[in-house]
Amino acid sequence: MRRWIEHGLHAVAIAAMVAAAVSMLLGQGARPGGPVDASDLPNRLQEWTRFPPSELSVRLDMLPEAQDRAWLTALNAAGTEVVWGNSGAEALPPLGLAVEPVADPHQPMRIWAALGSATAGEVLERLSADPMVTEPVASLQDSSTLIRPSLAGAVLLQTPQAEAVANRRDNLTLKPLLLLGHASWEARFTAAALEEHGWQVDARLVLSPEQVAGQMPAQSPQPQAAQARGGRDATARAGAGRGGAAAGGTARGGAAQGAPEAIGAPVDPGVLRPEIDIENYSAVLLLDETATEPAEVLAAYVESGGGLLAFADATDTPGLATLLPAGASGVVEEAQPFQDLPGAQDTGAGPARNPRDRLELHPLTDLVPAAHVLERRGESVAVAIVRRGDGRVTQVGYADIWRWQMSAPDETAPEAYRAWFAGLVSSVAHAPRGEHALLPERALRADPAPLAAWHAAFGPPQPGDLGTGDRQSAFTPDERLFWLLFALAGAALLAEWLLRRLRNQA
Amino acid sequence: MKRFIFATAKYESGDWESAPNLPAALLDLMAKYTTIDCAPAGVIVELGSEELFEYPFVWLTGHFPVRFTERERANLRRYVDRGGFFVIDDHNHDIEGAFHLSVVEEINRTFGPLETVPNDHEIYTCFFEFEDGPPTTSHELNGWGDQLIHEELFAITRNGRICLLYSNKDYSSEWDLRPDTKRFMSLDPTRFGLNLIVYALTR
Amino acid sequence: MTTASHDLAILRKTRRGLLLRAAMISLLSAAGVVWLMLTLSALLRPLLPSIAEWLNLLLLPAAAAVVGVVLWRHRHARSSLRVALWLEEQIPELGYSLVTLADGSARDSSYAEKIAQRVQSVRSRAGWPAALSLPGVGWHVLRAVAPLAFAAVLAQILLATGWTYNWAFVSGGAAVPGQRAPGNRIAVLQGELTPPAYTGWPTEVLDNPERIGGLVGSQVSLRGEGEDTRGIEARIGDGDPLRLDAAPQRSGWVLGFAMPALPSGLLLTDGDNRRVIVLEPRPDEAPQVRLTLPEVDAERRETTGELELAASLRDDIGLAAGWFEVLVARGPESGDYGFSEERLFQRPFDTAEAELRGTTELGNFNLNPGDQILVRAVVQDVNDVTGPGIGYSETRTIRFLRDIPEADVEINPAPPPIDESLMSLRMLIRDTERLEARRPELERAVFLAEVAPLLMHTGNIRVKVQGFVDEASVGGSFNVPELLLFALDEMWEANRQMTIAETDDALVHMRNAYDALMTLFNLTRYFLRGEMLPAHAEVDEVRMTGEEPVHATVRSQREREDSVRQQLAAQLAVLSGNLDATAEWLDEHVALMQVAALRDLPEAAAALEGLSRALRQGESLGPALAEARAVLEGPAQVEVGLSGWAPLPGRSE
Repeated sequence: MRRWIEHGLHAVAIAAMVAAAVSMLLGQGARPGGPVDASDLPNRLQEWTRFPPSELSVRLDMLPEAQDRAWLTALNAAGTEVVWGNSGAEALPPLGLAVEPVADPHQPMRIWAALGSATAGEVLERLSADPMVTEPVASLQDSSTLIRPSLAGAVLLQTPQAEAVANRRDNLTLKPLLLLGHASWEARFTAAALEEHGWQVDARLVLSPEQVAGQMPAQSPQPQAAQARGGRDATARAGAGRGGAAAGGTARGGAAQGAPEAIGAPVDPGVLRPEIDIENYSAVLLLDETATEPAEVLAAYVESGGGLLAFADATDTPGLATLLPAGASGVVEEAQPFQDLPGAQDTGAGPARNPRDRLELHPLTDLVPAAHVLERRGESVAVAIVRRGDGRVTQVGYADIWRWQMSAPDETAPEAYRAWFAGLVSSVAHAPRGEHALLPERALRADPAPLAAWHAAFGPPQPGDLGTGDRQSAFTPDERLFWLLFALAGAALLAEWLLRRLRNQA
Repeated sequence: MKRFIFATAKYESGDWESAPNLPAALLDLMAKYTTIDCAPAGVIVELGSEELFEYPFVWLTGHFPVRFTERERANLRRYVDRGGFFVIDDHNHDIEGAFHLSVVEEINRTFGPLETVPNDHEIYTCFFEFEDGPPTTSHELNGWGDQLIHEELFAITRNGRICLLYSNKDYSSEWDLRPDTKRFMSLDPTRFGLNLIVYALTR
Repeated sequence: MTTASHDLAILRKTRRGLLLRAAMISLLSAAGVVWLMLTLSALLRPLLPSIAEWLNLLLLPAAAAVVGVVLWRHRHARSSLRVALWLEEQIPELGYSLVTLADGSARDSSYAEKIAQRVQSVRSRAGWPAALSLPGVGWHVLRAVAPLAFAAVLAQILLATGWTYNWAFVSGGAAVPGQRAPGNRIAVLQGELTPPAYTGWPTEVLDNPERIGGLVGSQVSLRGEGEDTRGIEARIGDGDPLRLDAAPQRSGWVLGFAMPALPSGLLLTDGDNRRVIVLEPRPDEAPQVRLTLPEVDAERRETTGELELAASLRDDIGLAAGWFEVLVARGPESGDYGFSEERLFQRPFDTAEAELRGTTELGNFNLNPGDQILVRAVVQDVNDVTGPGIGYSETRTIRFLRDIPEADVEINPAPPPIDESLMSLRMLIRDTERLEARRPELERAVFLAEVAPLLMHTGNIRVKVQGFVDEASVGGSFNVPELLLFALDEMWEANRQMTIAETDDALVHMRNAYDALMTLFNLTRYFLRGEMLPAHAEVDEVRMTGEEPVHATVRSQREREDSVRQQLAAQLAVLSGNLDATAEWLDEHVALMQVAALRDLPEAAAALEGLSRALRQGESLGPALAEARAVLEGPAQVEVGLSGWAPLPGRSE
């Protein structure tokens, strides 16, 4: 009896395995099915991989994720023809997402989020894939430009029907800033703000025609990350106390023009004065008209890609007018005291709370056609920018901006003052792309324009209706059947073995 | 652009106005050696007022005890944190005197202990050069006050920069000169004062 | 002994061997299964705690089952006859000869010996089952138990190498700090917080705390599990290791420390595990004191009389003592700028609020004109641990005027002396403002009647200012300060407006005159006392005429100086980029950020606490991170449109 049972179990196991093999062979010849909704792709891709159909029709009710699209592309490359069409009358939104570092030692990120035809979208940051952690960034009603102070993961732009993913791709190389002007509170506070923000500043502050304080040698270009770690490193080199000497260079009157090859070697104070070009400086800040550097040098610098930031008292510098975005200044708006300004943090919530409303303003007028207004105060243009050649010029109408740092009652005023100055600088700073910061696995996950990628992978949509039939392939084995047959064969063999063991035959 | 204006701090206690000619003496020197736009006379600004913050260089001196009000103390703290340059000079030239004892107590309460400024600090070399640190005053050499020659100055610093300088040297007596008076001196005694201004304006 | 009986003896011996084998295999297998299940339970506990619990529950039934199965498989050893049958099955050549011998049916037969000899013959030819010898039993037992033992040893090795923790953290299954891993002696802590004795406050019980808050100087005692303190280390911040003691009766370890002055992290390690507990000290506030008398600064001519002093004192816990500190500063008329200091009316207190009061004779201070008295109240609290805390009141200054007529010009904002007939300009402005406010409700005649005395006072002040101008010009010999001339003009205009009862217009000019006179007064206190005006520099005349050698030197670079908010934001970004790190690392990172926030940015502490809670409780991290980031970085700046230009921070466009 036992032996009969054992033989029976043996036969069951063989039959189950034969059935699995037969179903697999039958599945190879599956004929194309009806249109499949894109939202159903994740459920079908495995099945199609085991039993590749000769043709697939995909109805795009939503944009599949990049990995599903890649999977389908692989099937397509393996011989399965893929045709697709839109679901219903409404086309899917062509989302676009780009992430780019801003020229700033703190490495904020600028995010361009294009919503296409979508009316609303959500920007998120995906910090971790497993476990999935996403952090909401902003809700958008239209295509927008965002500044994110830091970015730790990938950026997602989500609509109900599609999702775009983008990563930071580049590092920027930042060089020192050149600050030109008279020794003044404006110069001193500007230099301090930018240095404390993390920039290296070569400040040439004129005390008299023969005496210029605060010149530093050109630094070798540093990647943004190195700048971000601090001015700390830089200043550690520069030292405190009489540390100026350690930084090399000086400002003795009549200093000779630059000798870049001397960088790193012991420097005779007064010799080194780096030339104003994009190899040495990311931007030039012109505080007033006392700068000894001729305007044509600045013009050539800007044309070659450098950034120029011109302040209210610098606009009369001879030869500079052709570079600036504004042709003239309007009636000066007098400075106001800060006493009645609320102590709450200024976030630009409104003019009444904006500390820059208390500054003296030389409104920018007669803007050139290509100029773009970066900031207004009431009806007046306060900050404007224009491209000149490969570079950019920003003109600032405010005067005595240092009063904001000193007088604004808000506790975070110094931080806001620094951030605003850094924003001005980053609007013009020349910052070439450095090495790639992107990890390969992150690059694979990026999907910055999903609809465009879909078009690139599968061509244009099929005109007309894909049909709504529910034709199934001749035989599409259910995955669960395999597992069932496998379990049956295994159980039969195990039982046979147990029986044999119990009668000491195994 | 605002010109450089020399401000003298007026405080509730003490005799804040004890060196009325000092601003003009320094401004005279400033005009002689620099092209920095500066006002010809100083202003007086109340330490407890918001107006204080319009003047990033402020001089405070006196003979009498200094007891800041809460408002003055808070303003001084904020002034230093915001990047102002504040000079306190003991007009008594006496480390046993009322001004020194009381003002140092006030500084301790407001900022903590003063640091010693090393005599090779850039404040001694940023324009005129003083190899041995702070220049002596005739009051020290004549044995007035505590009859000591004070070798060093003291400071409160922020991010490596002096923002409050404290002196026992009695520069307020030494520099309280009408500019015309300096014509008869072989060496302008206020030169170190210009170093203070240049340091404040460029560092 | 006959061959048959010899064979029977061998049969019995074989049975005993089989019984022994069954017993050994059953016992060893049961032990092996128990070992394996225990080890598996420990391995699975971090990941699948419920299965681990089930494994523990099934220990005895599984052992019993194993014993049962083994015994059942050896059921042929129940009797000699069954052993004989089993042997016959193993060795068919026996041809039932052994069974025949064993069942005794041939015992009396003449075939018995032959059967026995046949058995002997088969024994010598055929291989007798190995198990029937003692070494054979051992080998058989070893073979049966070895796989089980091997599996158990393998699991034990995995457990001993700590593989279970890595597995647990990588898979995220045990990302719940505080859940106790086997052998973690710092996972569960109990203790007490004892406030300083001077407070009289009760002791607080600490039940496995993640944060400990208490008054600075409070004694904190924590107890952990384990047999000893070996390998356990505790330190506050970057400080030296704290001392740990073994608890009585080897019931754990004990750690004691005083609550530090600043928020800190208490870091505990036991070699394998780390844990950070946030210490949140609350300072004993310094006592508050308000000087109620003298009420304001004052100027006096008399250096004698009484000085009344009063102050109200308050502390959050208790006052110890209070007194008035009187500092007498000698003016130039006393010969020098010396001073003397006295404590007056010092007395002890034993309450949290009190009043201090007293009256002293000015004559005791030997005052001269030009001297000053500075008075303040000072109070000490009962803090004998980190204190005493000392509170100071505002200082009132009483100046004793020198006998110079110009020293009390009316434009001083201090209250004018009562005997002065001249109303100060300030008072004039105030009265005019009051009249102007009442003007709509007054009849014209009444209004004009009230204007009249004010007009007279305006005229008086104009005359006084005119006097200043005349004095300054010394008969036209000297230039008069511009401000003084301006003030005079404004007073003329104010006077004219008052003449036609236009009080609102007059007020504008009065205020202008007041501002000018105040500025001038500040600039020329000496002048008004009969001294010269402060000098001014002839800037344009002397420009660049200096001849001394100078040179401007290099300015050194300032260090980057991120605010605490920015530093914490950077740390949060690091955390956000490492969410796949171990739960222990994440927990510690957030705890240290909390400490920094408590110390320097209290408004961010709540958001970080939320993040910490989300981490510990395994909640969704996204919203907690977003909240913390919003506090530390502010919201992302959004500008509608795909601009080629970055929006400026805090723009107002």
